[in-house]
Amino acid sequence: MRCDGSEPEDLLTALLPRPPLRSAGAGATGPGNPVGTRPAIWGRAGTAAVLAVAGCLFTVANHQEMASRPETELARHELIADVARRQAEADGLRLRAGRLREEISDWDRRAGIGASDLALLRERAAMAGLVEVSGDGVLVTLTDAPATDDPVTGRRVPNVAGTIVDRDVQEVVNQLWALGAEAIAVNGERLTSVSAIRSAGGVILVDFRPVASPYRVEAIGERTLDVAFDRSPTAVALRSYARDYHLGFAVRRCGGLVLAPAPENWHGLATTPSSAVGNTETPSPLGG
Amino acid sequence: MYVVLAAAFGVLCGLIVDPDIPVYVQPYMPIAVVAALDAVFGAARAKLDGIFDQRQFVVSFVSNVLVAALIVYLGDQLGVGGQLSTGVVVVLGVRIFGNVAAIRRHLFRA
Repeated sequence: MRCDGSEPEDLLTALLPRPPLRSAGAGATGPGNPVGTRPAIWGRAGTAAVLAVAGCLFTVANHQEMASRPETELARHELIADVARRQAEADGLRLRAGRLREEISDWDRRAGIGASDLALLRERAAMAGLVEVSGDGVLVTLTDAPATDDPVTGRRVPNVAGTIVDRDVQEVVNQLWALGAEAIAVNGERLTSVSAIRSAGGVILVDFRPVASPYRVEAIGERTLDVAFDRSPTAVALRSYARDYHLGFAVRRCGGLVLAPAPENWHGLATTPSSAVGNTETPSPLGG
Repeated sequence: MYVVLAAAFGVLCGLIVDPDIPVYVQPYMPIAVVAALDAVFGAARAKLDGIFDQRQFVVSFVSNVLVAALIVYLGDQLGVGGQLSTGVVVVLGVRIFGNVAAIRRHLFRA
């Protein structure tokens, strides 16, 4: 209990010698303004001016702090925000495109196209990746090998031999198509008849959209698709790579897969080029 | 209240005018901000205690900012700028906490 009868507020304030209430501390305490000694408006103007200066001071200090951050960091933040915004836009457009396609098929029905024709149309659209497909199927997961310690420098370096490349994903996808998959998506990117899976700058691009490890290849097909794929030469090879290079490879049956339609659309008809003598292979229109 | 309006006006001025702070003043901006905060919180507490004096507030604000900047500048010249700056910030911080605690008691008890 202090001599003026009030309790100490904090431990720290109690430890410091307490200034007498009427001294010129920074607390702006002092004898109250006696009535009539000074017009109230001047005092108010002074206070208002000081508060305006304080607000200005805080703003300028904050602005200076923002400006002193390195340019590169600011630019990076802006770029990240930009990318996120554009991706959100693209996703919104993709959803809209899917809805519009559903509308188109509704109109097709109303236009009186025969039921069997409609069914054929839907089936072709599903295989071309233009319609949402749902069903049971298989999920193949490919994961990069974990980083290892470099024996020379002792630092963690990425495991180059165990990195999944576009070739691995292509093999898996082609094998699934060959086994009769009806719809395939890689990390959510639906594959169409002209989808490209390629590497650029160490990143795998599916239809020009980057995907990262772990790579989830979802395929909708027959009930036996997972077993058939498990026994396929691709799976056997990948399992041996998993053993030798420690990359991740897992196959499992998955029910209730829903694959969204692909955003882009290429209209055309695949034809066999005029075959040269001895050319027995015909390119498959389904991503072969 | 005219307090909020004045502060908002100051913030707007700062944003619009966007003054270029001269390079030799820039190192003392942070300490000036802390000193200004101490004066503002002290004024708020005095107002709630009923002993607010406008002249006192104006004088204490200006003197706080100047004295704090002066102490740090002196420290820079003597080679103890960092330590003196820390000391000033600690003391001002303690006073800010004391004033904020008193304000809090006023707001949530009275």
